[in-house]
Amino acid sequence: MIIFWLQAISTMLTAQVATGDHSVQFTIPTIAILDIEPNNAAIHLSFAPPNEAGNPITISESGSNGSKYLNYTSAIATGGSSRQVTVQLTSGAVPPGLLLRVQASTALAGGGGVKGVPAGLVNIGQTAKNLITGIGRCFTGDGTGYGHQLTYSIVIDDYGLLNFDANNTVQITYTISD
Amino acid sequence: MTNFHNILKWILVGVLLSYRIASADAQININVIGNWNYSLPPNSVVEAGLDLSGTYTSNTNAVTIDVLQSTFFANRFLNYSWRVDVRKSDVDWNPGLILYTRRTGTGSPFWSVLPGAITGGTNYQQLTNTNQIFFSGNRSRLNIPIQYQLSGVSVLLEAKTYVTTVIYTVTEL
Repeated sequence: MIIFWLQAISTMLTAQVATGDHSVQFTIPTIAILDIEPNNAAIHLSFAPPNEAGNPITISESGSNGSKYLNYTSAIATGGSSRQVTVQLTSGAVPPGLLLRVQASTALAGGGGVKGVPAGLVNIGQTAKNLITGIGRCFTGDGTGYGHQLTYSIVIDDYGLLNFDANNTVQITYTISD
Repeated sequence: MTNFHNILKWILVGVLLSYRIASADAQININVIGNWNYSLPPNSVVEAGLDLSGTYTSNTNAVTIDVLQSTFFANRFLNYSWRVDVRKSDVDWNPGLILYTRRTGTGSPFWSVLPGAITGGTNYQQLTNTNQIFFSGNRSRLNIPIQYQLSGVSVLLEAKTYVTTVIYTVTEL
């Protein structure tokens, strides 16, 4: 009986250990999205007629517009390159003699990460042009007042090509890409 | 020695013999079944300008754990106490990612006649690379459900697959 007792105790006193494991894998995909805030509604740009014969056509307050903001989110893979936002006309045409321009502000407060750098004043045409470059892993914040403020303007490039009462609608497309 | 003492002696011998049979050559084991693999869909950011939601949670039984002995008798008769510790070992991880685990149920007894019990581990606890006490119990138990939660997920991290290994250690006390 004593032997049984000792054996039982020795079994109980021997600390036994075992291990098991499994993996946890979590994948963050590459992400590149942008939008225009507060919405995609059209903006209107126009000139005011001169008050005095012989004076040039003046650009009224409605000749520029800063009501739109560009928001984006960018997740980049290991070793991936920075991204840029391009702008181009995808339908319609700017009236002859005019230039349609847009300028992105520096990134506003909000969000986080490496936000892009504005390329300056860009003439919008049918060829895509860089508007913002050097976008890293970042998010700008969502809504008006976040991201980059977009200021549109029209300027007269050639008086000789201007047509009276020309009224054109154009579609402007922004693209974020690697 | 009276008959009563003789009977008592043989009962004691019987108990010890049964216990000895149950515990002879028994070895504690832990089975960890399942894993948690999760890939965020590309549309995880619901609105441009926003970050990822930051926290993601597995099913309540993403992984199940069995704590048991290696022998038939021990699993049914041996009343042993045990403790499960948990840690992680990073394969390709980012310190900004915080992994939590918790026990979401009691599992089931190996033998319902002698069910044993299980305590602790029901609140999320952060996994580190050092063992920490997770939960404990007695007797063999099966299918103890485990849930995970990951926080710190952001587009500011590299877009790739992060991998860590979660290691459970059971110790017979």
